[in-house]
Amino acid sequence: MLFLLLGVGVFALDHRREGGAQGGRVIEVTGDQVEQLRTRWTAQWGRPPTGPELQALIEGAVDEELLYREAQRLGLDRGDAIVRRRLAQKLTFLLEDAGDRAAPTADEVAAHYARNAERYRRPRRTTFDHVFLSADRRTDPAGDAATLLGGIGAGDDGWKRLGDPFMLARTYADRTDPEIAGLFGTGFADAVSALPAGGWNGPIASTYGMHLVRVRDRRPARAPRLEELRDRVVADLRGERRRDHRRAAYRALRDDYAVQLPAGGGVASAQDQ
Amino acid sequence: MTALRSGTHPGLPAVCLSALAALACGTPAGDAEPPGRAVVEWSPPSAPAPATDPVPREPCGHRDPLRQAFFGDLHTHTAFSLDALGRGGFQTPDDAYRFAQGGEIGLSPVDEEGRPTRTARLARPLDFAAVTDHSEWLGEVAVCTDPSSPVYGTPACRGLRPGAAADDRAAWQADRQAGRGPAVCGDDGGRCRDGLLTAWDATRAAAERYYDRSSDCSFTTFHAWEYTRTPGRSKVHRNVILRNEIAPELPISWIDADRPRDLWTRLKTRCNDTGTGCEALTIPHNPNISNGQMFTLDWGGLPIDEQRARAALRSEMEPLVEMMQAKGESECRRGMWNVVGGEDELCDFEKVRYIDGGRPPDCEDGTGEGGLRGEGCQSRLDFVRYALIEGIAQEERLGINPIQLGLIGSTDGHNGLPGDTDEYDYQGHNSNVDSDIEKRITTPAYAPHPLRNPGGLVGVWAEENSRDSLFDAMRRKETFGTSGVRIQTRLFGGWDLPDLCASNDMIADAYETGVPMGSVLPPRAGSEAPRLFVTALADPGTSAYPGTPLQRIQIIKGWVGGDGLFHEAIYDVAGDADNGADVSRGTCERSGTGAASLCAVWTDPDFDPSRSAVYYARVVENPSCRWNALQCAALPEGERPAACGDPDLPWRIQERAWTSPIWYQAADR
Repeated sequence: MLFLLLGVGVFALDHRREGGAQGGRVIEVTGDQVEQLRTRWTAQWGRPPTGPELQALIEGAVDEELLYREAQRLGLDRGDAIVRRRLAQKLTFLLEDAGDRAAPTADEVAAHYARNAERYRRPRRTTFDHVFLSADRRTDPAGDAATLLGGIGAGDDGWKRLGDPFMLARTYADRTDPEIAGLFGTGFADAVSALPAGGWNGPIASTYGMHLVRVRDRRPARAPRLEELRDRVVADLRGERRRDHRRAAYRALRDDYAVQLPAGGGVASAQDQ
Repeated sequence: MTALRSGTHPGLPAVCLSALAALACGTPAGDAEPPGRAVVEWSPPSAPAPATDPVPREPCGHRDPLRQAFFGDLHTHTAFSLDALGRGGFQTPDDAYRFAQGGEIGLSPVDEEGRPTRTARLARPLDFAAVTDHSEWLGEVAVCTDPSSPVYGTPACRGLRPGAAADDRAAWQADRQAGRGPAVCGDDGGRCRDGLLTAWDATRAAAERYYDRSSDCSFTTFHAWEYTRTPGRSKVHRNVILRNEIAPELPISWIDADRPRDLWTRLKTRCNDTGTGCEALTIPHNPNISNGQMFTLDWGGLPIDEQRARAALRSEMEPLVEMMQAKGESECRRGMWNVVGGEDELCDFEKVRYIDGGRPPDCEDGTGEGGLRGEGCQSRLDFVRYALIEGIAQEERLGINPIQLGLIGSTDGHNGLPGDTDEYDYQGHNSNVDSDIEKRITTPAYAPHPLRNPGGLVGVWAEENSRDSLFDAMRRKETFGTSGVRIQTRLFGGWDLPDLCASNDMIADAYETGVPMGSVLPPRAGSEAPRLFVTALADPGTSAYPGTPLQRIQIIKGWVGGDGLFHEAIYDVAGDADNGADVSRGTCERSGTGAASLCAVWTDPDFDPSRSAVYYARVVENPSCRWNALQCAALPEGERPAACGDPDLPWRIQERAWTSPIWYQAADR
């Protein structure tokens, strides 16, 4: 607040000394600018401004321009951290916007999708049955599992009565490897991922004990059709463009300047905050 | 355009819309506001949910009628939230959902070129998440961070943004004093209404982009926001979770609905009662810093029918409570007013109000203020266990239990990192404020960073990973909360449960012979005591950080005694409290053995059929290192901040899970 009062004082003194238009300075309000004022008002209030309202808008714009020029002439914009930061931020937004001016075309979206196919890939999914032997209930679950494996029937449902009670399911459909790891631990998931589809295998260790496992079906990883996730790809592409454009602009600007840092890059003495 | 409608309690027409709210308007009771604060309705008010068909989706490939556990986080903020922005956050809802799915995102502080200097990635992606940005000032943030806005350069807008000068901050504070400021929002509030719509639409668009509607059902998002009422710096916050994409035009904040019951009535008129398929539920969080205000039901003076109506509204709209999150655990505390029973040392866990070792005064049967700053009294109702018993007391009086809550955990992180709960790589929750270990383990004047924790998770037993299936499970309270680990646990109750731990079809048999957690036991036949079936699996962890084995399962029972006091009893039902397992402070290495899985069928040995009771299970891991000990141990000795040696800082924890309760209702109340 003190700063503001001082500023006004300086401005008033300065103004008296140099006198009005004799200084040769001109503020011109163009027809386009008036039209802009009218449009902004209309957008905000839902109706065009009346004559007196438009007059007041123009007066306000002239006042703002006067103050702005005088403040600039007095160097009030220099050495002010807020002004510095705001200008930098404004340029950042402009740079980003410049990178995202036009909506990407269908071809550009398709190309972005192709470039990042790995990110959008749908993972492999496995369907499997398992028989559980609890490490908490048995002294030798691995040995018991090996014995069970020898007598397990291939075709019927008899396997469902084998093993120990378990609070999760006996059959898991369409699971990704990370989902299987989340359920039974990473080691179990790795072992199951190496099993062929078909018969019973094991014993395979999990966090909870030993398992006999039968992989019933395996759907390979697939690339989804672009239509399945177009919205996301477009959003990703636009975000990437804004970031890229900002960074390229920073780099280009840096090329115009010689940046000098203290010895050691200034890192050692810098405190963050 | 009409003028902004605004007024002061009591007797404001905009608030006294429904019969329920009208009651509230004339009554300076309990959760009523101190007089003088303006309530400001949008002009025009938010439109109710539109009548549209839900977006179709494919059926899930992995549906299981016996239900499976899905892990998620229903409480995450991005830089759309004013407080997150102010601390240097820049994450968007898209970033948050990408992170939840396993993507890497950047964290502040940023370098000279605006690039994040830290990154974060989930070792294990989540199954579901909800971005819950604060609805308060969501519109103002949108207006003031848009450089093309006509008020972008005004002092009030500058003051909203981070790094503002003191004058500008004062301008923003003065402008928002009335709830919605003319400088930022315009005299009719229209600019902020437009801004709110923009931010809400962007939030919802992100939720739609990341919801997997294919038969893979790999990830679910929820449309959601946080309602952030904070009377006297006491938290009575609620997250609002919507069933699907059918939503009211605008999220509701305390500025336009200033008490929780005003929120509920508006959610009904604009969503649940519209017949459009819109459905909302609310989840309160941090009762631990609410100074009794979260669950104190000060309805005493009202006619009994009105009390019943309020209890019914609360019970209908609020099925769950967040019992664990970054700002502490809210289960229980020893020695609270008029609570008697078992000595429960496990209550000494992740308490954010042990500041300076001091114990806050007890509110007894009143309420206080200041919890957000670690000030004011603490009520037994600040803890979920005793709030559940209060629900029983109210039910015996009213015939309706207004606090019949299922349990969840979540994070409440403000960096857009849903589910980032691993102790070993906890990076703080508040951008620049707690961005390195020095800041995190050093206590500033009132923000107790060292007492904060990475946060909890919510587990949901649902048929499939889809919005409807998960939301149905939340409605029926078939949920559990964890302190951040991925323990899976189930609780069933009944009168004739067989030995389910020996059953080869234990879950099918449990549904057949009992009711799942979140339920009320069916009426008692004969004189036998209730039986509970509880089972749990240890967190498998990852290959780099294997999970910790289980130590034991406990059943917690609460009831109101003939003496009118709140009674608690804690029973060890599986595992071994004295298994000798421990952890070393210096290296954080764990020693000893525990269980990979635990199971019990338990009969209440102290059952009194004349007393209603609430039961829930607590599953406890062997001891492990808290995040501060892990992160100090990971540094070379010479590089550890001095506070690493702070003897008052808790360093050893027992991670845990809590099931939703099962209730017994005595017939002759």
